[in-house]
Amino acid sequence: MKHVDTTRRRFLAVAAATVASPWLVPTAALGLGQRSAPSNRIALGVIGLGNRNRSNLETFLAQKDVQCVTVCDCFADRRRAGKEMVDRHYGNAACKPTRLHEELLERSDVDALLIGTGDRWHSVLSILAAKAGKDVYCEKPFSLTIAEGRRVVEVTRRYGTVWQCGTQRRSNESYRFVVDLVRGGRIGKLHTITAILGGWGGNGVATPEPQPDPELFDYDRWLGQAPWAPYCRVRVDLWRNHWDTSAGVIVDMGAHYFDFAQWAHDSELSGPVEYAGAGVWPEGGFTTVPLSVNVEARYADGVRLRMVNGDKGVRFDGDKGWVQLSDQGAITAEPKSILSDRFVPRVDWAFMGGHVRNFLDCIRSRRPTASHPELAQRAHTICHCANLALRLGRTIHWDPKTERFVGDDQANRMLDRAARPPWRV
Amino acid sequence: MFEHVMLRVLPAAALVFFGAADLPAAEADLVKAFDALKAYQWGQDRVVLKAIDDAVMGSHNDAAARKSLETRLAAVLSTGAPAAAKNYACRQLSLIGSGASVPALAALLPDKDLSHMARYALERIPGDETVAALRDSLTKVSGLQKVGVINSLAARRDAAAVGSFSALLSDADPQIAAAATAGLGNVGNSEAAASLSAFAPKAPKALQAAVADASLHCAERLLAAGKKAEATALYKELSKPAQPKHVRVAAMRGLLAATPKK
Repeated sequence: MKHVDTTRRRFLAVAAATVASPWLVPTAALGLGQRSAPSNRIALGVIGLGNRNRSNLETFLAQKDVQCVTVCDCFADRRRAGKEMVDRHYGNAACKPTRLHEELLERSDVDALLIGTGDRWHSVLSILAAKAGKDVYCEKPFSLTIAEGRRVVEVTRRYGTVWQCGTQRRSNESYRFVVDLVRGGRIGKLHTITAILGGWGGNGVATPEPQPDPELFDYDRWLGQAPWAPYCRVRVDLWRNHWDTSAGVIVDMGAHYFDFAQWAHDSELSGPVEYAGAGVWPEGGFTTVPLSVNVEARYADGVRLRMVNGDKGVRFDGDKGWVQLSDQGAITAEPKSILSDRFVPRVDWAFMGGHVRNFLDCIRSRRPTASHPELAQRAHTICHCANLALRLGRTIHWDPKTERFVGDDQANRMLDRAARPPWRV
Repeated sequence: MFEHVMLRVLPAAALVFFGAADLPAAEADLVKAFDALKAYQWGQDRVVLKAIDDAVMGSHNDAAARKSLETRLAAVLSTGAPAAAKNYACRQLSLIGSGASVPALAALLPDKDLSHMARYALERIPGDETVAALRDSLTKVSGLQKVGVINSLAARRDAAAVGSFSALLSDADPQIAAAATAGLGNVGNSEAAASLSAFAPKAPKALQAAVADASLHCAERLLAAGKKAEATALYKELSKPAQPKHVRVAAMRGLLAATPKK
């Protein structure tokens, strides 16, 4: 019989006795077509009710073991629309809208949060939620700097809360299929991964305008940790085009595609060590992120990760062929024999059900999610490194173990940034 | 004062002496951009400052160029230039600033419109003088500016600020008290741990969650520093029934990490 250290054995016994009761009463066998009893439902709060997160909310509402109890947004009209959506689903008026995420976090009857606010708030809210003991499904991108993403990993680990990044391709059969092909050597030895990120555009003039009534639109809160700048509609509509509030096309699709690349390359807990590239930059105006990019990253084992614009998808090239997955889920390969002896799934990028279900199941099992914080952090790090190579206009070298740039003071200064108070990341 | 005047006069003098057409193109563009910066307002096209952007990024391997740029950017901070101009200067100084820029940046810490961007630069500038300037400013700032300075000192894990943070635990401003609490957690040394433990029993209800989190964070830091006994003491306190369940679970996880395996 294996000897178990008595100190640890005694400790584990005490721990088990102390936290014997789970957060949720274990679900009894769900009757087919039946909603779970109220005590078995995961009480959900939603922060952010723009288009994307309302779409996410639809998937959550379709789950029989979820009860959305409150919604939160800086825009009054979005709060109203969110409440109406939830109330219509349940046939009552019970959903409580709020402008203040603090109210939501203080509620002991909220088990989990669906966060889809815009990039600058994702890490702040993820950390606040973990500190309040709440599990989180958080849209990507979840960080604006490498350091803030690492803090999300640390705090969720501290509390053991369940956290799922909104990289739903992790729960998509088409992506799993391609990963298995690549890892199984069907294209031979992998040498190049090409992430085709889509397009980017939009610009404007940030002429200051009178700040709206906070009850209608709480601009100061909307800005969150981002540096203050006078309100103008352009700043709000094009928030994805400015470094203060977003990180452009590389992080928008890279959060998904680099996660996919690392999964197939079996480097999920590491990352490339060198980044170089060029971007097409707007000539002035509000937009500060590049409009198109051409970046090449290199792993320590020599595999190249290329980032270009075009029709979205990811291609894997090996010494015996290639396989490509489009964002609509179409899989092509050369030679065609790579696909000929098997059923090839086709699942569109927008399929959310599997990823949401994974999150909810992990809330009950307390197991790591399909897109847990460390995986998300590593994929997002690639995004941020690529952006820094573009902004600095030179090749930069990254150490995935120390998580610092090698020999580049300016790049290391950009690992983090001071948050606007009172917010802390 | 003299230096300030000369810094404004010299580039213009260069233009007069050499003539703009005689300056190298890059320097002529830079002079023009710094001129534009003096009056740069919100909503103005940032393309007028592009030469400065390019020069800052390009100064990576050129210490002399970096020094010259830093001096010119820091000079903007003590003029009557608009807030948008100083905001821009702070951003650039965050990339190339050194101890030489600290006084000009520190002078902005009490300014409610510019304090954050001054810290945006200061947090990224290495060196003891930066941390000392932040620490010195604690008695000169209030409200959200004080919250920000506390956060910056915490980000630098300034051990010398622990005494100040401890004194601010009972501040009447709850945001300041919360920032000081979190700051102790991030510094995470023995003195911080002792301060948190002493304060915990008398913490107001609104601050109890912050104290618990800071204590957990502090315990992690102590454990990483090899101070298992101190970490364990914190975790044991946090395992008591009075704590919310998620805090107790976190404390249990910490105790497990701290318990030696044989």
